[in-house]
Amino acid sequence: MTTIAQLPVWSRAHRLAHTVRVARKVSVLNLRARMEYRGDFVISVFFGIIWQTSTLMFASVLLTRFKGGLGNFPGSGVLLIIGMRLLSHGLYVLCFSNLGYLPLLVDEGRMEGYFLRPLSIFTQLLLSQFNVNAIGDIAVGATTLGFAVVLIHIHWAIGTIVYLGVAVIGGLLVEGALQLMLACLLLRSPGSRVLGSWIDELMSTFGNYPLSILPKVVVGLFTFLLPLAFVAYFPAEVILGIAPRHGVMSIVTRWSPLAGLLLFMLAKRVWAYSLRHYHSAGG
Amino acid sequence: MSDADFAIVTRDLTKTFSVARRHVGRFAAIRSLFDPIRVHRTVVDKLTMSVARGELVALLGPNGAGKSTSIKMLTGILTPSSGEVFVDGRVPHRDRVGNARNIGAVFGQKTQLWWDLPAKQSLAILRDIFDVPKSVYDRQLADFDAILELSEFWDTPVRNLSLGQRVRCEMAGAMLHDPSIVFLDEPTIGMDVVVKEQTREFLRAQVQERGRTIVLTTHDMTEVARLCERVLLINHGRLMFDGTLEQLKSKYGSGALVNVTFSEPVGALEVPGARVVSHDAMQAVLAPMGVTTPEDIVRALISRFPVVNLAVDETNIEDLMRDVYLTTADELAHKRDSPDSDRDSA
Repeated sequence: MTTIAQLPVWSRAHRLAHTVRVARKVSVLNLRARMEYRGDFVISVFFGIIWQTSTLMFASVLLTRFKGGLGNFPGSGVLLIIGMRLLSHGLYVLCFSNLGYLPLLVDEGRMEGYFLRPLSIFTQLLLSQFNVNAIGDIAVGATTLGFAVVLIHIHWAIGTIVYLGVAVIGGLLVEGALQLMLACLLLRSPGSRVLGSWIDELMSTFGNYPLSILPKVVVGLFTFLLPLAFVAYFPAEVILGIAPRHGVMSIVTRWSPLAGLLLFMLAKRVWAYSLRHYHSAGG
Repeated sequence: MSDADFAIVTRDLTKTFSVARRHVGRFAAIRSLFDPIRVHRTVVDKLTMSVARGELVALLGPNGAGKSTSIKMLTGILTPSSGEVFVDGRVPHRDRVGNARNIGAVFGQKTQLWWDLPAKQSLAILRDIFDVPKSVYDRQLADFDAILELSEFWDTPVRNLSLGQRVRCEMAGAMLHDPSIVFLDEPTIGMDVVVKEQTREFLRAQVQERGRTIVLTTHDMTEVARLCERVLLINHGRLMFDGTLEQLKSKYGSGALVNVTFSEPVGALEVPGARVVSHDAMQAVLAPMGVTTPEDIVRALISRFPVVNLAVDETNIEDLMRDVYLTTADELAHKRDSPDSDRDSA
């Protein structure tokens, strides 16, 4: 009898198809399981909407107060940043927010189960549960972005629309990469969870507005240390046609959606290294 | 026999953790925060062993002996600090995915199933992850259900299952993909006697009918006595014994004891081949030595002394293990007295 272990080594394409199939099935089952607790499900979605709507309310107060816009951005441009950031964040919550539960999964020993299955540990971690509040986050982000697209007076060529889509995914990857690097730290030191909350707080506080209103030193920090400028600010500048036209920053801004991919690839390497040095909990 | 003939081979397998030790004295907490003392603690120490295919082996040892850490290295969860490990010819930490296809594992106190989902859906996900053909999956599930009676509760979300029910599902999940080697870390902890017996029957069937190799860690000595042909004993990370339970008894146990009551006071009590464990005028306890059996002692007592009552007590296996753990700890302490064998180094 041929055992499962004796089956031929899979090709990369087969592995990818297998991962997608498993991810789809687990996500559907996890979502269905969450929907069985109707009250909890509705509250979680509603909480996601309320949370992000409060961000929108604060932004609308600012835009009403400063009718000419903020920094070098018109009011509709600020709305574009907010929409891109909120949608990226909603997708981040949907895809990657289980990274924040890593200390719990390590403590409960569930992380060890992931080592025992022929599937990427990272994928299994992301599939550990379905975060229902992401539905509210994504709904608010998509609606805000939709409004911004309508209000902005530019020609929406196919290239611009594709650039916007890639930028949103890039923003998702920037946040995912930062939290993945933090997860590597969490594997060794569960107390670093507060650092994750702080990064989240910084991104939601400063990521929704044009960084040009901040001092240059702070803009530098938010570009090269905590790269939240790449989430929405730089791509929005390009879309609105107000990006620098010369110098290094011109290149950095135009190619900013790729920063997420590069950071994420780096974070995956750090993650692989961290797993090789995993210490496990208990005996 | 070559390495390929064995399911598991380890050579000088060692795992050392670096842990922070607190300062003592004035400002200890602050000094520990800024300048902690790093200590290297060897949890598994040059473990050399092998397990043949189709064997059911008990890995025993007191708490903190290094059993779970050894299993985590064999399953690819932990990377060894030094030494070699081969599981079905693979190095688990270098070929995690290949190893995962070939092994199953249950960590009794930890769940590997999806907490929010009914157990059967968890098993269906595992089927997808391991790419088990539908016909094989259905057959496996029916076989597991026949012994473990899973269908009584497999539609219940894992979070609502009792410990015994959950572990039975974990066991089915660990063997669903037909692994040739299975690691069970205290699988029957917290189970009632009926479920324990059910689980033992399941494990016996896995070895006898499916030819799986099983490595079992447990503190339940009845389980060891009923299931395992061979015992590997670890203490302080070192392999202290490798043999059958009977050999373990004869090496470390006091064996059977003969309790005798006399009808009148007896002075000097001498029986060939027997050690007098205790003796007062009317009663005595004797232990066989060498090839002498308890029956030899009974015959000798009846022929020489005014006996009114006799009883032969087999050594309790729990007591035996307590003696083994204490004795092996003493043996290690003696070894450690030599200056070059310090296992903790700053």
